[in-house]
Amino acid sequence: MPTSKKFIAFMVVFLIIGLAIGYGIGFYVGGLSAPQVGVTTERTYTLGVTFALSGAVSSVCVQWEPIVKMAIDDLNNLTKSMGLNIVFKPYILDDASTPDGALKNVQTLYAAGIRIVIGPSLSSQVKAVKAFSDANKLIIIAPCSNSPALAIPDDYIFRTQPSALGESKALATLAVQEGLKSVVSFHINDEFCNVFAQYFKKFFEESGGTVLYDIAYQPGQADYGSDVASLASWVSKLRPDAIFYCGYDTDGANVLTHAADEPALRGVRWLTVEGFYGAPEVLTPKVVDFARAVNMVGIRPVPIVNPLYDEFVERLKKYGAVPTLCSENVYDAVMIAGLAVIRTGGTSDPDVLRRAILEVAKTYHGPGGWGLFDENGDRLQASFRLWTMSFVNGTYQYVDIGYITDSSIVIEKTP
Amino acid sequence: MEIYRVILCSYVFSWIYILSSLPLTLSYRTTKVFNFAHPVFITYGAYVVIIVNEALGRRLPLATATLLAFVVGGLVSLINHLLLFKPLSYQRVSSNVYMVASMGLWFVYQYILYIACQILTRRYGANFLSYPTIEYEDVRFLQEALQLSSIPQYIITATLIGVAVGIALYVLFNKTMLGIALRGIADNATLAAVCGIPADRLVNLTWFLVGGITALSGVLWVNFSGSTTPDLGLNIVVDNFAAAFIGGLYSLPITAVASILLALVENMLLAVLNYYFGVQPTIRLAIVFGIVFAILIVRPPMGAGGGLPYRFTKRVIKK
Repeated sequence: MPTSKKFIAFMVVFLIIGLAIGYGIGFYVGGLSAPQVGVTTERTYTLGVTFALSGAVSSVCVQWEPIVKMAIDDLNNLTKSMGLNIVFKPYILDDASTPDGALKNVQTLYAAGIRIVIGPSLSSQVKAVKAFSDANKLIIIAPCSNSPALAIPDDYIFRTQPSALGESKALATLAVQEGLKSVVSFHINDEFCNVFAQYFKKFFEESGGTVLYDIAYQPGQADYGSDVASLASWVSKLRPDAIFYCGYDTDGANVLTHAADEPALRGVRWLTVEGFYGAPEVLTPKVVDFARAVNMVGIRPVPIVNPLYDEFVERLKKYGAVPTLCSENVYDAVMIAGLAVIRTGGTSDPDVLRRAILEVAKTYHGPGGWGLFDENGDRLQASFRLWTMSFVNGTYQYVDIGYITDSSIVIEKTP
Repeated sequence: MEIYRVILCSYVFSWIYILSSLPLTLSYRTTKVFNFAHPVFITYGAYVVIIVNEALGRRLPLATATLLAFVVGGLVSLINHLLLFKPLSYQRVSSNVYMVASMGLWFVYQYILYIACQILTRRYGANFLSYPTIEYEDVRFLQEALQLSSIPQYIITATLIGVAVGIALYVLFNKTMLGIALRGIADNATLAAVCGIPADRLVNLTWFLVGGITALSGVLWVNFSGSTTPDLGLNIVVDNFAAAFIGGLYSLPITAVASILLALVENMLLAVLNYYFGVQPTIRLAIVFGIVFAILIVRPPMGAGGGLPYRFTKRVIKK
């Protein structure tokens, strides 16, 4: 018992001394860190990013990571120059090019307290995250999705790539102007290409053309040789004037490599979209020779003349990246998000942020052009560049050969 | 119908499936481990070729590619066994544990490759995440010398590698003591050990051969396909496993026949269905599984279910 009493007495004294020391330290430290007039503390604002850094479209999307860093640097330089106390940081996750991966990432980012997410890349992925975004008021700014099926008003999804509705109409108009009367459509079975093919058919047939047959191939295959053989069979049978092709980087390289071996496919024009634009694996001597033999022409929604785009391409080199599909839209997505955050003083309120994004976009001009969104939250744009692949200055390159506006189609170089 | 192209695709795919499915059957019947990480060897074989091709300035001979892919694939497989499967076997774990462990191994290898590709892409500029077709220098020379330039290079490569591996396996299993010993282990490992066969060393050798031969299908793949990605193994895993299952995970000849059958079904049947009946090529996987289910029901390969392999069931039926 005496030992026990001694122990209790010791503990009480120890507690009192501890409290006294703690109070003293607390008072001193608290006094030092108390807010003072005219002194600001730095606040970190994290922007979530979900990109396809692995999987089917990764070869294009890995080039977007440095672009995000560039945009974040620009935002931080801006806040610093304005004397603001906001520091932006990206939280980048890989969604493996799958809709499930994108949804998991978006949920993870939301759980981490993030309220604006840049990405995902594909329309199928945007479709997968839409319900979660709507339910939780999570703002999604997708830089490369442009399926018309996702042009929905009053949701929390913005797209810095214009909807493909106008693009499909422009391509159909080009086909008619080029004297093409019949087309076989060949495309990957996914959200963007299915809907693009559907609208292309609609506009082409309204202009007097005919889509003779439509072949969709399954994504995620190891090889597409047998699909190309099916296409060749149909082209031999139906004798169309052209093939409309919609695919992406990995499958595009595969399809075009096999098509180059197929005599039946070398005798028709090829029209395509921006799906594999910028993908380096497509630029092999075999594929470029094929593209030249079939007068391949692609379309992509980029402003015709934009000094900001040229400056952006030049600056990208310092970040070790090259311009690929949608790279300018990635930059614009981060900038619009950041500027909206700055405008609201760093709020996390999704409705305030949503309104700020719409307002900021009205006056924003970036490498992708004017940022203005339409009633569906899709970037408004009515001009497109025409491109092909060619051998220029000793290297195989993607080259712009013309443009399409509301009123005219101009082809400056022969494909 | 452009039948010529379809036949070429079927031919090449037959060899790719044979080279990747036979070793899967071989590994299961010898070790009783169903290795889900097996398709990784195809991918690693392809990527050894891709990396060496870049290192040699895109002038790679088939002989070098074959040798390097075989050795690297074999070593990866052997390391898997020594570091994972062998320690598990000491603990006498169930086949489910092997299955889960090998699945985990698959993902580990997959992401190691992704990381390596991203680093290589940034450092060397070439896109390792989706690599275009590789043409072999020595095969091109052979084509020119024998005036075979009109034949696609991948047909020659597939024939050279496929026939060489086929002959080597036939000789190994039918004409050498080593092959007889390997068959002995496959039939009854305990009895083989009692008879003085060094089972441990032969299992090591089996894993090395399995990895090496499977990696050769990667050598063939990069010569045929327009794009090779780190997902290569993942994308052909279904056909790979299907062929091995049809072979009962025991019979090498039936696995080979199943590989040819699957390649024909995928290419020829699909082309016919598309051309004559307008069926879209997107149903490919459904057709593959349909064939597998049909075979499993009509003539179940009992080795796959843990029962007796074909040759024993045949004897039972005869009696």
